[in-house]
Amino acid sequence: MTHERMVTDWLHDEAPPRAPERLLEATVRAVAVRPQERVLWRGRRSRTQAPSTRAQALTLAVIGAGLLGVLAVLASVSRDREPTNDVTNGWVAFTKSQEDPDLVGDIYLVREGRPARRIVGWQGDEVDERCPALSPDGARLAYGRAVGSDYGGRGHTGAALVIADLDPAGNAVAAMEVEVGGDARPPCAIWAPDGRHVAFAVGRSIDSIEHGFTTTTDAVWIVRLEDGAITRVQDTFATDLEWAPDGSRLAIASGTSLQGHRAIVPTTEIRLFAITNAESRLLPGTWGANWISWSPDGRRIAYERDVPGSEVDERELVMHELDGDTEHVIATGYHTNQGIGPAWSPTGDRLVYQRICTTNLEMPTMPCREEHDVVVVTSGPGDSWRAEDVTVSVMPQSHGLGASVRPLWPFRVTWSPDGQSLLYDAFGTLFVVRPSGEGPVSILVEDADPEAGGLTVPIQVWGRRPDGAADMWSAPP
Amino acid sequence: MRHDLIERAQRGDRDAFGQLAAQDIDHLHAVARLILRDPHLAEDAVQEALIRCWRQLPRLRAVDAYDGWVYRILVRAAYDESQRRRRFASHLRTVSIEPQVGDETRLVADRDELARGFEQLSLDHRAVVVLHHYVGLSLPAVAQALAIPTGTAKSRYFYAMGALRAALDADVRLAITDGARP
Repeated sequence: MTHERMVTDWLHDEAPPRAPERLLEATVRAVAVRPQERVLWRGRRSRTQAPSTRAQALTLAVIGAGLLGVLAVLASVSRDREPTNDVTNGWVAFTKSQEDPDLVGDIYLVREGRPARRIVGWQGDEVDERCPALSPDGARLAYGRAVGSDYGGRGHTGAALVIADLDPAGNAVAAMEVEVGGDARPPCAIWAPDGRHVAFAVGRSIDSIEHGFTTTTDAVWIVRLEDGAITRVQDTFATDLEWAPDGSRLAIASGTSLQGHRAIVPTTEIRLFAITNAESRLLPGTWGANWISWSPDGRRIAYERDVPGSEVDERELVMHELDGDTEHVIATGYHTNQGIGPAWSPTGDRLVYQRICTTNLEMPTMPCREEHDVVVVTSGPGDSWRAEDVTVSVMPQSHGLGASVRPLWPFRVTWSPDGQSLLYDAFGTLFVVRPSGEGPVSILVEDADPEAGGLTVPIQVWGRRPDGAADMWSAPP
Repeated sequence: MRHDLIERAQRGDRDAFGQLAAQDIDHLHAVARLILRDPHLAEDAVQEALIRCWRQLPRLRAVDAYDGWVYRILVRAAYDESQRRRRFASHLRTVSIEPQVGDETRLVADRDELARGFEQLSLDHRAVVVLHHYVGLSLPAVAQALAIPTGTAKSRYFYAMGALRAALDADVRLAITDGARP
């Protein structure tokens, strides 16, 4: 094939076949309110007789901005700037879909005692914004964006990762966009602890005879925020990602084929990818690992895997000591549903994971399938994580009394930045519970989208500004 | 029919212009997308270009020149959009944690390198390549559409193609170097 032919073919393959329908509609609407430039006489052309629409728009914008500024000042003076409760220890970002049938999500912020505020997206748009992840300093928000809906598993179009700056009033202003391809889902990014990189797996809908439509990942993208450099780690089929505490390496629970998605065949294992030199190291003995969590001191990786040889999808929780690559099993013989995986507390002394049907292994399916235990494991003396040394606490399974009883069966569990609270993402309801299992249970939101699924999902939904003074609710919602 | 639509639109018939826009928008969007490599900038450029077309249509003397005239306005709008918004510009490297073999992998790698090389080109060079290789205009026609001398169009074209070839060659050299490692 000649070079010229290769370029021609590539351009035709790259070209989108159709423009979005909304583009024509918007253009026709714009044309409808714009006058044409008239030719006054042949051979000489007039300046446009219509007043400059840009000048009009600028004038209106200046006036509008001034009015908004005045309103914002008045509102900020009159509002209570102190949070009503410190249980949530900051604010929580979540996704909420618009009405069916679109299932197109927008991103909101909420904290206890305050109504949720939409900060990304608007009602009626066709853009799906998902997977909010707050930067470690709480000043930036990463989220995935794509046109259209994933309803029916057919995928989106034009997916991109967006990095937005959050001002103290909670307004998100897009500062960076990374386009990931035409048929990908909105990417779910994870911030490095030093805030210098984000990583995400690009998910695509795969149509196969054997499995029908399913979603898998084919590459992990690492973006350096300083200059936008992207490293794309090919053929990883990641099920989970986790940064080292110093941000130097990325742990990738990675498969070796399109069947890397756990729901199909668990062929995954853990690789450590060095950011500086792009070298990767396979962690020995981690075959079958899907969900991973790196300890805050950097010494261990906890992960879940299928019990070797098990034919009933039994799982076990494993602690891998990076110094010497030794490992030991903390818990075994349980089942998972969505799989919240292990999540290490920011203080490093506790680990939370989920299990199902621990008491009836003879019946791995219904009726006990929907019983979800959230288990908090606390390290033993001397920071020991051996099964015989740890303390195990099973969290309450329900909240409320009588007819108002609500099950506490989360798809996802996230620690608050100070480690004092847990956030449950359970069937669209966001609960805040104490990791001791005692004390009040708060309901933050009841109509969020569950951020569950087979792809890597950020757990950095809980943020706060380091200065503590910025109140994201100082501006009117 | 198309001739008639253009003339009616010139006289201020918005419906006629709407039909013209409906006929052209997919193609214009594809051209803008290829030149800008950004879906959102491309949409903005297409909308801005069509609005400019509508407003300036009475100035168009030769209806037969409409298509080339639209390309010129589109490329100009693409320049403006690119400069108006400071966008995220990245360089990308691709690494693999699994060895790859086979012609298909080579083909995929070539396309990646082609994309990377194309993104390194300036908008001036991309526009010439897209109008020549995607739209199918001859280089003199490209020059006419962009309102530049034919020599400049040729110069930009050969520079761009050389840069794309160099990007592919560099990838081949890198693959050979990697393959030679113990």
